[in-house]
This record gives sequence, C-alpha cells and structure tokens, in this order.
Amino acid sequence: MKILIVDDSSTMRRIIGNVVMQLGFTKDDFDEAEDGLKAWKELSNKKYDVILTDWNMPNMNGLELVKRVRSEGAHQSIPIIMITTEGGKSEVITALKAGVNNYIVKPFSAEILKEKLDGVLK
Amino acid sequence: MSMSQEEIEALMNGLEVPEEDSTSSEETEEESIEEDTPSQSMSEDDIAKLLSSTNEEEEIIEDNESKNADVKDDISEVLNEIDNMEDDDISSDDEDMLSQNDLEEETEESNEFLEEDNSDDDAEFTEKAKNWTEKKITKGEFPFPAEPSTKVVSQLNEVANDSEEKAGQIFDVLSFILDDNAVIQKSNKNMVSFLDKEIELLNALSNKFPNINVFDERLKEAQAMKEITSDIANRISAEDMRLFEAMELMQFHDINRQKIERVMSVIRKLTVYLNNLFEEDDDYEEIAVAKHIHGDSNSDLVGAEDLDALIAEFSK
Repeated sequence: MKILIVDDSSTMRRIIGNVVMQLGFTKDDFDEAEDGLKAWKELSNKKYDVILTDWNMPNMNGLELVKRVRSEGAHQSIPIIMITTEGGKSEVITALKAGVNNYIVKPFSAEILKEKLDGVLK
Repeated sequence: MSMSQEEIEALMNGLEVPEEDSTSSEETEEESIEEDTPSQSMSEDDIAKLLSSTNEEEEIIEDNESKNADVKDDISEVLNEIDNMEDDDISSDDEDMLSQNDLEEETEESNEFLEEDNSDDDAEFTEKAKNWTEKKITKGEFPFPAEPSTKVVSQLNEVANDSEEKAGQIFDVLSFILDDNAVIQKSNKNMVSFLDKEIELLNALSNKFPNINVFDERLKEAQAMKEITSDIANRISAEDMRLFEAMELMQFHDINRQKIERVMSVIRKLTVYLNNLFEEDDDYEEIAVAKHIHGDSNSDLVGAEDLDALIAEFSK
C-alpha cells in the first residue's frame, strides 16, 4: 500500500503522515509532495494506491491535479481524497465533479481519515 | 563708581612698581636713593613728588568714574529708546505679533530638539530626532514610513513563514517525544517478558517448595513489578494519545496561515484597485494649489475690511 500526501504546508504533510501512521502504516508507506506539479512528477515515477491532496497550493492546485490525474497518466482510477479548508458546498460539489472520491474539511481527526480511507479502499 | 580705601591703597602701592616710561626717571631716582641710603626715610621732596603723582592717579580714577557714569547714562538711554520702540511696535502691529507668536508656538515643538542639540554629537541628535518622529507617528500626525517592517503584506507574509517554521520545530519536539516513548514501550515489553518468565519460575518453585517462604515472597514482588510495568505502558499510551491530539490541533496553524493569506490577497487586490482608481492616464505636472480658499477655518485668512485696509495702506 502506497500513499501520496500532497500539501504546500510542511506541518500539514507531517500531521497527515502522522495520522496515517496511527492507522497502522509506516513511514515507508507514504511519500510527500508540496504542490500539484511535484505530485504529478511523483505519479509519473511511482505507483500509488491513494492520493491525499490539499486544494489551495501554488504552481498547480489540488483541483487541477485531480483533473489531470483523471484525464491522463497511469493513475486515472486511483482513489483521491481531498483534505482542505474549503468547506463550502459549491467547492465540495466542484471537487466531486472533478473526480475526487471523498472530501475532508480541516481540521479533521484520525478517526475521520481512517473512515474515509476505508471507504475509498473498499 | 567710587573706589574703596583698600583699592586706593593697592593702587598707590602699585605706583611703586614702575610700568610706564614716564615714570622711569622717578624709578631711577628712587633706586638711586635706595642704593645710596637704603635704611634712610624718604625726603620731603620725594614725598611731595609721590603725593603729586598719587593725586594725578586719583584724578585719572575720577575721570574714569565720570566716563563710566556717562557710558551708563548712554546705555540706559539706549535701552529706554529700545523699550519705547518695542512698545510702539506692539501697539501698531499687535495682530502681526500675535500671529507670529502662534507660528512660533507651532514651530517651537519641532525646533525644540534642534535648539538643544547644537552642541551634541550626531548620535545623540539622531536619537532625539528619532524619538520626536516616533512621537509624531504615535499621535497620528505623521504616517508610518514605507519600510519592510511596516509594509502590511510583507509583514503578514513574514508572520506566516515564521509561524510555519516554528510549527515545524514544535512538530519535531512532539515527534521526538513520540519516538522516545516508543523506545520506552519496547524496553517495557522486554521487562514484562522477563518478569513473566520470573513469575513462571517462582510460581513453580513456590508450588514445589511451599515451606520455603522466600519463593513465595519473590513471586509476589515479581507480580507487583509486572503491575508497575503495565501501569507504565498504559501511561505511555495515554501520553502518546495526548501527543497525537496536539499534532491534530496543529492543523489550526495551517488554517490560520490560510486566513492570513486571505487577508494578504484582499490587501493586494485593494492596492491594485486603488492604483487603478487614482492613477492618471498621462504624465502629469505638479499643479499649484491655493493655500487659502473661502470657507477655510484658517486664522490667517484676511477679511474684506482687512483687505481694504491693507490696500489703502499700500496705496499711500
């Protein structure tokens, strides 16, 4: 199982990584990327099972990454969970339309992430 | 000014010490007298000459006194004239003087440190100037200078970046405690494993030798120690949970950073908007603006009567 964590905040990447480890994964089970562009490079080089991505990021934002993943490359059917502060209904709808499988609004708990991860991995 | 008796005597004594060429002949005479008859008293002629010269000196002193008195009279006259002139000026130019006083009061504060610091060195002067400027800024009379430390967006950006860096450091500390706890838990498990074997052994020995109390006692101690290790494990697990909670709470750092970024975005857009609103299409030239306009509440404005009076005065 390999997870890609995409967030421009290094603190947030560590928090998500820590939550993932609480769920039983190890440090080797996940990689980090600080924006959509770097995430796209990682996806081009490795095989991943889940993407956990933020929305607002420089260079390429999360929504653009989701659209690109769904439209091209080897990960078109990969489960994607968006973890973001954008809590508006219209934003959630936009993200779901773009192809995200689940949506988490910050701040979140380990239980929420576990629940959503279990949901997309089934 | 009259001289005191002591001053006169001192002056007279001073006559014995030759200072001027005119008294050189007298000196030589005195010296010759002293040389010829050092122990003898002065002759009547010498005394008369000395008295006459003393009288001359007294006359000179009296002349000087009279001259000094004349000078004093002259100075007092001049001072009186100046006083009269000032009185006249005040009575005729009362309003001008009042407005001038107002102006002086206004500029007094700004000139205060300049007047004081003429003799001070540059560092002290700069310090006082800085304090004065800060006072003005605090009062809201001067704007903040556009420096990196006062530019709103750059300051907010700095806060966001510093906060990110510090949050990373806090996370490092929490991670270190978590890793340390994991090491303690591992050691604790080894201890539990050892105690389990000890308990098993002591239990067997206690059952085989029920009369030997030491086996039973050691068994109870080992069981008590196992309970302690169990308590340690529970406490460390609880501490880990607290650390995870702290890490989860640190999400608010990211949320606050995004709030700051939102404010920065609003200010940037506002800056662009205000620039668009106020900018001119072409190059502009500085236009001369009126200092006094009708309707101004300025004490320096001239009324219709004052205007006529001024024109009449200048038309003479």
